Amino acid sequence: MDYPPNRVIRMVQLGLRKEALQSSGIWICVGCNTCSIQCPNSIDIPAVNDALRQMAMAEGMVVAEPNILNFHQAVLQSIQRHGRTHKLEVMMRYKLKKHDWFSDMALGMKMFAKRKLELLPSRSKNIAEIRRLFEEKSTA
Amino acid sequence: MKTENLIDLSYYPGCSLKTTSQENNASLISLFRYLGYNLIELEDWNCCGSSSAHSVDTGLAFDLASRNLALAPGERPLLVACPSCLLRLFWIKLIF
Repeated sequence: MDYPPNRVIRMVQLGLRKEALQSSGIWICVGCNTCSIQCPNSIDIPAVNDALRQMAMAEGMVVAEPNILNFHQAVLQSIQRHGRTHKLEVMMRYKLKKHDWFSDMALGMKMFAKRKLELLPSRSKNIAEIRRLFEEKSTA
Repeated sequence: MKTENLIDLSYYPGCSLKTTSQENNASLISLFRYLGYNLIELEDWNCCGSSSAHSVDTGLAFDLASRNLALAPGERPLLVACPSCLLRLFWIKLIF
């Protein structure tokens, strides 16, 4: 991460648009809210990061962490197909895009042995309704 | 373990509790039964959108999370065990 949340906020305040939108800090954030809970000014930092990411994409900025964006898209594709996330599928799609099959193999096998990776997805029944939610959107 | 006079609660497990952490799900259901609550899984729930939907598309995050709230019967409380799902569903409540 190049800039921690407080610096990203400062860049926004100073109008350093390009620096903020192209920072890797906005993509590293997983939205755990640990920072916003401690923030003395009660800033919803994950929501700020969401907005900055979406602005960066809308403006065609260089995405500092393309693999993270790939991961999000893999998750959304899985939701679009099943209504729920299928972790094995998300992992496969992500690896396929990254052209990296073997780096987490040992962990994957361990998870599989502990039945932490389901072969078949858990699905929503009204999948047509879920897909309609996606059809109105651009990113999916 | 109690089997009578259980109080019904709607229950949103979320993707992880439903699949990769089934053992966590089973413990939770047993615990609540012991405490006198019957967890009724939300009919046909979908993923809350997870970190991915709100990261790249706020509108989609809103739609995915609010569909679950729309499915919840109004006459009983909804229990959400996953902290991340709770955050997504609670966000909808904050907006309205």
